[in-house]
Amino acid sequence: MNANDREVRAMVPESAVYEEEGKVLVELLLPGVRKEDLSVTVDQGRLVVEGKRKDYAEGGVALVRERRPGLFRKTFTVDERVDAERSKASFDKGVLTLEFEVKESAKPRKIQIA
Amino acid sequence: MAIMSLIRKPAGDAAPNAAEGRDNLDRFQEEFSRFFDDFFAPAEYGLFDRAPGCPVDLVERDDAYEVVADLPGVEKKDLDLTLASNVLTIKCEREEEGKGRRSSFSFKRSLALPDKADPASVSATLADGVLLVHVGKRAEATPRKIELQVK
Repeated sequence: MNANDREVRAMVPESAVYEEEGKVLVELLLPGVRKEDLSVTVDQGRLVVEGKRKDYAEGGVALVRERRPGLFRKTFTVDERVDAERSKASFDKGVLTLEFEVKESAKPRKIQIA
Repeated sequence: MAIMSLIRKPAGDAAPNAAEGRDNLDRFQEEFSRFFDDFFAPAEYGLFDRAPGCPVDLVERDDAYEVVADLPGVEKKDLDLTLASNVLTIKCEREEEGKGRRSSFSFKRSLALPDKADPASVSATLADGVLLVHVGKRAEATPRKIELQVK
């Protein structure tokens, strides 16, 4: 891994992971990405969100360029506590929200004292 | 740190993706710590800081200028656009109603438009978390002939 590898690598979108009420929520900021240009896969414990976003500057001259067009990819490792089979995804206003259920067996159990 | 318990390091170097996994993990940790600092920080950026508010593109086309700004999760009511003396200002105030997952944030971003931009023909749209401001170009100022009246 050197500095050059990072240059050619796809853009990494901003993201955050939350846990609430037995669910794990993954939120990615993907402004300007169309639903059809987005792919979300879970395979062998790896959650991969990738795709491309269009270049608004195409056909014009960019005078200021702070946004990065083209490929993006973000990989997460999915813990075995998370049930990847039961997931929901929503994409609204450039924010992708993935919702995973935590497996029943992995939820905290209250132990009654007899 | 609830987050770290969700992400496990691959066990041992024997795993094929061990190196990549570690790299991803490190980057994720880095990004996660930066996430709130960078994106939701109050607009107290100094003059020479890198990311004042939202990243923007300014594109010149044959007949117009386009300002493109990344505003994921932002709604129309959160935005206030003004154009004064060819300076476009994007003001964003967002109140997040989520369960404390994401704090509220606000910022102001100003961008000087080229001289040829016409403040009289501006339109803006917000779609897919991207704000697009279309500013027409003024017809090239043609040299004006001044008639001399000799009396």
